[in-house]
Amino acid sequence: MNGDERMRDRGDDYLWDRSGAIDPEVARLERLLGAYAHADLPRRRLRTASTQAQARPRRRWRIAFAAAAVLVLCAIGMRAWYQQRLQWDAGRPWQLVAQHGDVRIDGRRTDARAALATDGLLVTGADAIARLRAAGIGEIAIGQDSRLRLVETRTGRHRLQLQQGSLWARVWAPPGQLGVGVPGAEVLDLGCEFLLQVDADGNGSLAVRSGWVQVDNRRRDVLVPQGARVRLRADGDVGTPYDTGASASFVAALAAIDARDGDVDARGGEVRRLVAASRPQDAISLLSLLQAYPLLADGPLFGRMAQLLPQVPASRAAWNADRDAQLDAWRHALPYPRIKRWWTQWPDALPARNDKLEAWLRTSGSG
Amino acid sequence: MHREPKDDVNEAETLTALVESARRGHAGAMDALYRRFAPVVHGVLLGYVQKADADDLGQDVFETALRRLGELREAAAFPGWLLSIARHAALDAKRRRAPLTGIGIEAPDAHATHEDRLDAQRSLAAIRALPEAYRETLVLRLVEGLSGPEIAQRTGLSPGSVRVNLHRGMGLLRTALSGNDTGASVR
Repeated sequence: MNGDERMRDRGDDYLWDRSGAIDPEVARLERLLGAYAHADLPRRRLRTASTQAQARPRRRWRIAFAAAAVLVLCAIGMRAWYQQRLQWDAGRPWQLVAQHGDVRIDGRRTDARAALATDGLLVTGADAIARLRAAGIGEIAIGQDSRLRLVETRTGRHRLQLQQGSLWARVWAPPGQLGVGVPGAEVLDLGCEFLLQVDADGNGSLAVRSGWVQVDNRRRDVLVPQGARVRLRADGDVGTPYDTGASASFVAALAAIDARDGDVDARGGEVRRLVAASRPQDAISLLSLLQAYPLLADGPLFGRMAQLLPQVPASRAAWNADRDAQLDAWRHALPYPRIKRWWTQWPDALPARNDKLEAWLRTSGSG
Repeated sequence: MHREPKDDVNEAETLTALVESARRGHAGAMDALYRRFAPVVHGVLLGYVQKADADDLGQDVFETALRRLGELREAAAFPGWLLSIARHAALDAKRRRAPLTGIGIEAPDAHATHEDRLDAQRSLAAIRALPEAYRETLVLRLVEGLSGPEIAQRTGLSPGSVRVNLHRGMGLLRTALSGNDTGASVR
């Protein structure tokens, strides 16, 4: 006999399932306590998965609204930051932010609080580097054995003169705000990062790391895109920009053409060597030559240019009919950022790393 | 009342299907689970807190359970899992000194005589003083009106355990109530 059977024998059937003889005590408790039983009262709407699913669209709207509000606030904040960045009181000195080695301003050794005022001359010694805020629009650094003068500074216009040495600049601002004068020319930022080097004789080079830079020698403007370099001469002559990865034979042929101001036979040896050594990345040089010396289009340069940018329809008839239209079509097909979209170069708003900066300044004059 | 084993199998299958359906957000399945298990949850809560609080907490327990249904590994374990949530909710509520609803006196039946109401409160107090296993099965049997087999189905306990709990709990309750009559206490 197991436990259940023993309980049943003792008359627990009524307690178990209301079968068998009624247990008066159990029945009395049922009657008394029944009033405490669960009653199917009006239920609150259960906040369950299904109600959550119904609430989901509202929640999505709330999230979308919050995201939109955050975006608007960010936009307002960015605009305020941007406006603040461009504002600069006329003549306000540029703060020195870091220095290494012998750095002097107007002949005096600098300290951490030093600043370069208008007409002030910053001079660096051997192995020296100085880093300054370029007003509020960016940053510049001066390499060893350099002489830099702050010519003018105010909102929208900041002008320097690099008399000698090397200068690195990174600017994130509308085109033309920062200009650096070198012997015979002026280098204007078009929203960019660049390295400028000038030797004691006034010859030098410009290498562009991002965006575009314009070189103006009062006779013509030369646009130099990122990844390209251009030679500068003390007499104001500006070379044709070339990709920094161009071969030595290409650079030599280009220098030969530049040396004669483009006055070469369009089918001559210099042009043939240039065309033979050209790669797709050298299209900027070919385009610059065609723009500066249109007669070169009579030779193989024109065909090579059309070959390097096959997506642009090109014919000698179209060239003869409207040369500028053909040049514009080729220019727009080049794989560089648009000058008018300077703000897309936003990484230029970030500071550069010290070690990279020093390496760039040391190599700015090479290549 | 004898139940066939086949009925238990069908019951388990139905429960599993309901839980799975509720997991997918089916409102009808959630409602069916509520209707089936609300008395059991209420009974468990009533073993710890007053009726008004048990009424209120019952809905909280279901909200919690249905929200966390995804955490339940096996649908068949739903009864035990649900009652575990109910016990935790009751213990949390009990830790607060004042009844949640602010109602201190339990007088659910306005038509009962004063003597019956006192007897009912005394009986319920005696049941609440019993060990948990006996307390819950007796509340489900005597208050919620469930039979032993129904208690077994809806708590996940075996019928044998329920029957033993009922038998032993009722024995302790009889002793406690007779002791109350003579001024003694169950503990």
